[in-house]
Amino acid sequence: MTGFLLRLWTTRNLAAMLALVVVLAFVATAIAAPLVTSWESATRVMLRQALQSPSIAHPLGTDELGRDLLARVIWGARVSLLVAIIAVSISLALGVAIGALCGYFGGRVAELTMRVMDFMLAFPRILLAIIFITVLGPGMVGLTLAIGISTVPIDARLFRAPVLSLRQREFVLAARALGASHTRLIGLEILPNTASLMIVQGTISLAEAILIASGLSFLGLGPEPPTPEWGAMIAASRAHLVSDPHVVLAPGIALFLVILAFNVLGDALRDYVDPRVRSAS
Amino acid sequence: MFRRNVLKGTAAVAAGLAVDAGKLAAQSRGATIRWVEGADVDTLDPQIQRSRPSQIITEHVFSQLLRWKDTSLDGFAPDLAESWQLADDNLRWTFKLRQGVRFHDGSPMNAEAVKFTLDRIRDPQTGSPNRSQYAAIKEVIVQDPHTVVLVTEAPMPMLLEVLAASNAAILSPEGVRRHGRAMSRNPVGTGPFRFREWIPNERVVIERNPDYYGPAPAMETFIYRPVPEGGARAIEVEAGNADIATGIPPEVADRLRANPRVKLEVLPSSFQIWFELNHARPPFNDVRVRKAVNYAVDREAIVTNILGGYGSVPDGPFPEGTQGRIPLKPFTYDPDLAKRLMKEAFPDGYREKIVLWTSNGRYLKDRAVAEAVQGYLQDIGLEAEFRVWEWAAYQRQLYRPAQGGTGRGSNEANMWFLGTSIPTAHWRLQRKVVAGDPSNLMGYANPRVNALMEAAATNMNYDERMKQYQEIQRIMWDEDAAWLYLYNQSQILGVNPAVRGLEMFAYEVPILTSLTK
Repeated sequence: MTGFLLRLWTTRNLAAMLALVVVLAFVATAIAAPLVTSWESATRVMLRQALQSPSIAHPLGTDELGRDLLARVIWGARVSLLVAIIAVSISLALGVAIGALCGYFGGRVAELTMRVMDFMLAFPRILLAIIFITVLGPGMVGLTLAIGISTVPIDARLFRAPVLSLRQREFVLAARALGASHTRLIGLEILPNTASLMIVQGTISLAEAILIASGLSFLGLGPEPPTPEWGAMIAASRAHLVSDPHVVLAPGIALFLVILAFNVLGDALRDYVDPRVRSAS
Repeated sequence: MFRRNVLKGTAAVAAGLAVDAGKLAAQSRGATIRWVEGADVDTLDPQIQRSRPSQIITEHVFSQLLRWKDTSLDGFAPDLAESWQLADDNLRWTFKLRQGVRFHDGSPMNAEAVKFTLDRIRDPQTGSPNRSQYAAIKEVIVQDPHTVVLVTEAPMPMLLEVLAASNAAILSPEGVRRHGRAMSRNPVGTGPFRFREWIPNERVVIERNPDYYGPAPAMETFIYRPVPEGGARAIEVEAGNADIATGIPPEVADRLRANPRVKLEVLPSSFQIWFELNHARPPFNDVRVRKAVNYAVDREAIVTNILGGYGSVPDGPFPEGTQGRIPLKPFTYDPDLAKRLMKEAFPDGYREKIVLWTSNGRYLKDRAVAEAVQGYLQDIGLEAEFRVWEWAAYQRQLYRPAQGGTGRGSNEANMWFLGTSIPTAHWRLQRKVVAGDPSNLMGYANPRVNALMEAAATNMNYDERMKQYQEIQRIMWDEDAAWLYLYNQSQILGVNPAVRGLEMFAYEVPILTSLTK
């Protein structure tokens, strides 16, 4: 971690540093949401104060039902990040496990599993997620699981290749010659060598997960009202885009910033862990 | 075409004949009116339909025995029946039919066709949602080819209202036999317009019937197109792709008002929107809680801020434009009173979550209003679980027969978003307040209301009968707070300024015969 930060500093990678600041800021506000603002102000309907422009009382203005937009964006960050982090954890856990097992053992079952993964990959991801939500029911849990599961095939594919090559490397063969068990070989010899890949993939997946989550919420498949969710907020207020643009812009810009920041950060991380790029620069 | 008309006109003037210039002009113009609305037609069988899109078409392809004189719903005018008479026993109605009328397929309209039509809608096999309205008719007798006698079990004061509704349209027996079930896509009637084509989700086209027995429609062709998104409908009329767009969203209405190439029409509607409450389960089985929620909601703010002022706060279960309306005292926004009532009913607060269902896009701003109501309920300590339904699935779920509770699929919820535009008092009430009616989704049952409905059903004195309906409205409103009343919808239309003769019923169906441009 310090190595990465040091590199950002030495290469003067301003974009990535900014991205890191943005990500940390969002994570911090998401965690501190209850301290910064109340759930009450994010959900309390005050129709007589609907669609107010930004002011001191409401720094981002109010939405079409008179709720404080800043509070909703902050609580929305909590929802988006929570859904994204859990979904990515699910997909990484399952994807890495499937990829590693298939890559390590090979054989017919592994082949079949990977074909199933390919089959899932051939489906548009958002469609796959919609199918899962239809089965699981809309809401936070359904949304998280849908995104998580629909990402599994990508991670499985991604992690199978390095495991396939790592298992032939000398240090693995050496460990095997010493009589190490399969569990030990996979868990302690091979997987730690994919850790950097996990971090990169995790970061980039977070951006995608947030985007898909807000897309699904936009379609009305996200958490139920009054829970603030950026995609749902955009969907509910898009009718006011011309008359009161701030209602759409607040969640829109938040979404844009977070996704951009995660992507830039992910790119920088990838450059950092990829020795070829590192030595070239 | 143009030249021929000019010649004809010249010849007429030259001959010094009195030519009805207006009529000639109207016929020569051959105007096409293009109409866009939120949903597609679901069937063109008038007996099966239950939605407005279908009604707009069937009301003009078919004719009934009689019709409403005008949009004020004040009295009837003859249509296929030239006259009617009620016998002294108040049970036998004799209808004298107009002679020489033919269906669009050329077959004659006669007493047999009327009997065929009324027998069909009364047959449970047909599956008409309006069948119960005809239940009191005992027999339809063909006296001679142009005379039909309807015999009712008991005096039936609303018979004429029932026969004037679009579901009482007289069908061509020939057409029904030939098309069978496919009749719903091949309507054959006697109306001012003939059916030309229906391409699902794209358009319905009807055209002027040259053999129509009444005054000819002013336009030549009417094209109906479904455009689900409200903003897109507004753009259609702004861009000149449509002549009339209905259901303009309030946030777009001001833009249309400012546009000189579009006229914005805001008309009253008999559509009232509410949350139905489950009377069979806590907490809404307690009248104090029903009253509490009615006082907890700020309707003024809903109308001003969500509907953009296009709507009104209900002053009774019947809005303007409905039969037998009585204005009552509107529920004020009084959260303190609401909290007191809640405290009386549940001194320790109501702990369970309330299940709240809503449609999205069926009614003006339904989902946003539902979300606002959820917020208002939270203020008085009622936590609501929110579920948005797609319209078709919503209908299926609500009306599905079920065991216990309300006796319908609605029993799985505590409150659900609905509305009605039915303009006639009996039918508007019957479906909602009579215990055991298949459309009574709330499990509402009040013996006094039932007794009043029963008495009204056979009361031949019109004024007295309306008094009975008004008493029911008062009970549902003041005593029972039967549901959570929300708002009266307005009809918001974007209209091409060249359009003339636009007349809308309060139930949001136009009179097409006078419409042209």
